[in-house]
Amino acid sequence: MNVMGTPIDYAILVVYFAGILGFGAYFARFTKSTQDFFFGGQRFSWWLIAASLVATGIGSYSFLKYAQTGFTAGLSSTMTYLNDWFMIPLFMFGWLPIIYFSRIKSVPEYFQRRFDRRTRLVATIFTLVYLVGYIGLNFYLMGLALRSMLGINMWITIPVVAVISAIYVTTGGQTAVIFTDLIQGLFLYIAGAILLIYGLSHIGGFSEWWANLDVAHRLPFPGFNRPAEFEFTGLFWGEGIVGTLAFTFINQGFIMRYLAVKSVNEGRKTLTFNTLLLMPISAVVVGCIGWVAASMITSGSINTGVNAKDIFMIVSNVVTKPGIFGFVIAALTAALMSTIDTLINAVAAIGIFDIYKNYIKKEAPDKHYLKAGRYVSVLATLVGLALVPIFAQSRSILQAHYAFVAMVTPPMLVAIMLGIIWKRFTPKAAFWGMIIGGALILLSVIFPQIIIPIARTHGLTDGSEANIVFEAVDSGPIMGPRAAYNWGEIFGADEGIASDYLVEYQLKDDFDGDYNNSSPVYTRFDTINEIPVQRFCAPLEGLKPRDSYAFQVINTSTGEKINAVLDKGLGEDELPVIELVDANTLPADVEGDVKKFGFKTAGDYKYFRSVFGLIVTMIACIVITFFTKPKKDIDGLTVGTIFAAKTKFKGGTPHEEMGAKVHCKLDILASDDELVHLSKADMEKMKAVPGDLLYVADARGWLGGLRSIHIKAGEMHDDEGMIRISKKAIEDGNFLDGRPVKVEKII
Amino acid sequence: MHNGWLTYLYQFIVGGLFFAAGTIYVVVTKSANLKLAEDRKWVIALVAGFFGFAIVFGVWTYLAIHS
Repeated sequence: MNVMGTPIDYAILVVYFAGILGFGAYFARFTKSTQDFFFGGQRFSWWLIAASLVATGIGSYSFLKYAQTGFTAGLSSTMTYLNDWFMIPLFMFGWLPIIYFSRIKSVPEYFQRRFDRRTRLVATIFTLVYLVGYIGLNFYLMGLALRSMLGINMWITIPVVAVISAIYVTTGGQTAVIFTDLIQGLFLYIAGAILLIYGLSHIGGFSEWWANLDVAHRLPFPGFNRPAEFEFTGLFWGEGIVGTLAFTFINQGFIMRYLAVKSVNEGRKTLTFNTLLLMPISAVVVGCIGWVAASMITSGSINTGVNAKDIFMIVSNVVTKPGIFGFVIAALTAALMSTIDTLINAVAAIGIFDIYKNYIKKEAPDKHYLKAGRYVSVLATLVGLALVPIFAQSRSILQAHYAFVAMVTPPMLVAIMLGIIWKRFTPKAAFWGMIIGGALILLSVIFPQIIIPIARTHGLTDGSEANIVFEAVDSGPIMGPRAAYNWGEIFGADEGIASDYLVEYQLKDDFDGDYNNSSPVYTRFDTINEIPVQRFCAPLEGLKPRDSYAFQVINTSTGEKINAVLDKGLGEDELPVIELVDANTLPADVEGDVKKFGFKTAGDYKYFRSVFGLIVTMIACIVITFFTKPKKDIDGLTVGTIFAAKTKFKGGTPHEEMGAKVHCKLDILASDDELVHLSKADMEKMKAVPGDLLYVADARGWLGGLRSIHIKAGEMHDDEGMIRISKKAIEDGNFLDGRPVKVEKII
Repeated sequence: MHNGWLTYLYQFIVGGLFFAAGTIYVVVTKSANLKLAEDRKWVIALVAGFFGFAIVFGVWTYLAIHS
């Protein structure tokens, strides 16, 4: 194995691990209740949560995956990060206020309150299998990544990272997760900036980089519906619509982060800042190495025979220096830990609220559940670890987990969506709709052809009919066959020709016998995954979709026909031309020399399976709803009844008019008063009245609300700038004696 | 018209329909109460964000094709 990195790199990695462990463990002192352990005491500022979400949203494998996508597809690799805005209104004014004001602690809990107990059980099972599987998957992928980059055995790296993550999550809970993710996110951005700057300077600057990219690599979106594995319509529907809804509505880790902010308004700030600014930056951070690599290929800085899967490791090792490479590796590990810690905390929340408290021990002191939550965190880590060798040994089990996630996500999503927007939607419809939808999706995994009606709607093929894929460009001409089959069959991958040269082809009739004078150049090949594939295409006239063609390979310098085998040492003036001729009109004299190729299918339109699941589940839910009775008493759980949720949250009529924040000094009361008392003047500035819910925080904004508390306002006094507060509230809010505080009205 | 513009139009027309439907729905149900200054500010931010994305992607597509 090719081991990369220097002792400096390894030293940086060790220091980083120790730093994160110490930093995370420090926050154990702020975790005194389950509310702290799972929701950080619901006290944090928007910027802190937004920054922590950066690291959560970037997995360790994101760097490798998006570097590869950036290399093969170009800047359109950003699409999965940049198409969330369309579904944001429903989250901002629907789901977020519902879960926050209704004090919902887990996604399955919503299923019980909106529907019934058995629907919650189904949601609990679905969510747990999905989350625990993801813990194992993330460990496994990180192990693979570090093995590729450093050559270290994954059975060493995975347990080390697991132990470190488990220690700070178990002791510090959500607070530790938020603060370590803040640091890890910072690491990720710095690493991304370093890679981008080093990469661009290696090429010769931004202008050189841009000039070396072809149009397809510059565009923000991939091909309209080709190639199947990364095409626009699939990404739009599968990622932009279904994926965004899934991530924002049923991702327990994501939701818990939004429940950790001090108010719904603060959550909206987090959401806006994250979607408008941080996610685009994240897209650049994870994809930039691939974009740089694509440009380096053109400029000849790296070998065209490079394997796309290795592009992150190769380019980062080329463009960085000792020490910097270690920093990049640390960032990669940071990405993993920040995803894992969120998953562990989410599994613990579901384990406690949906299983332990719901079925095993219904009544117990909060300290008991806090202790149990810590045990579940350890258990979740161990189960995740136990899954690693299973994933490593059996690819079919890994695929089964992917299939399971694809099977359960759309039904749960439909149940929630209909649950929040349609009061008539019934518990029986939710339960049976999820079961039927999940079963039909499972059926589509076994019999993919049932997705064809949806795929055809968007002009796609099922692959079995389309032997060859063409792509229209501009207003009419059709692109050449694009990576739809194994080019190695033509060039003879076994002969080792997958090397550092380019191949071009054109229609037989257009070739004038002199390669250097021929125009236009139609395509160019690179070796990806040891198979030559097309990277650049230009229009080819006269080809029709779904027609079959035969290929003939000719040495352009000698005119000699070459069938499938080319020598590695071809010079620039000997570049071969692949002639495209219609198999039905093939001249008799060349028939014997022409090799006809069987084409592979067009690929798996994986993104459309989720759309299929969404549609069939929705149909089942709607039909069943009309034959069953709706549930009463669901105020506060649907979009149109959020005012009721606000009333319950506050325990009185909400006062939503917002005033200014006021700075006060602490005046500690001897009694255990559960209210705080401010002056009449300060209350007027805040537009608050006695009974309103206030948020009191240490005046130092950079703490992000670490020392703060929600508390109701009591009777007013006349000492402006003074807040009278009990000793217990001081302890609960982790306030420091003598430090001024900032007070604002929440509702 | 270059294919890049086709994907751009699809993204912001079809995506715009989802966006408009969601925005109108939360306003009609008064989940976003336009009488409140705070909610009004957020609805404006949502619409501005949509057009902001559309402008950025439009410029990006233009530069990709023409520069």
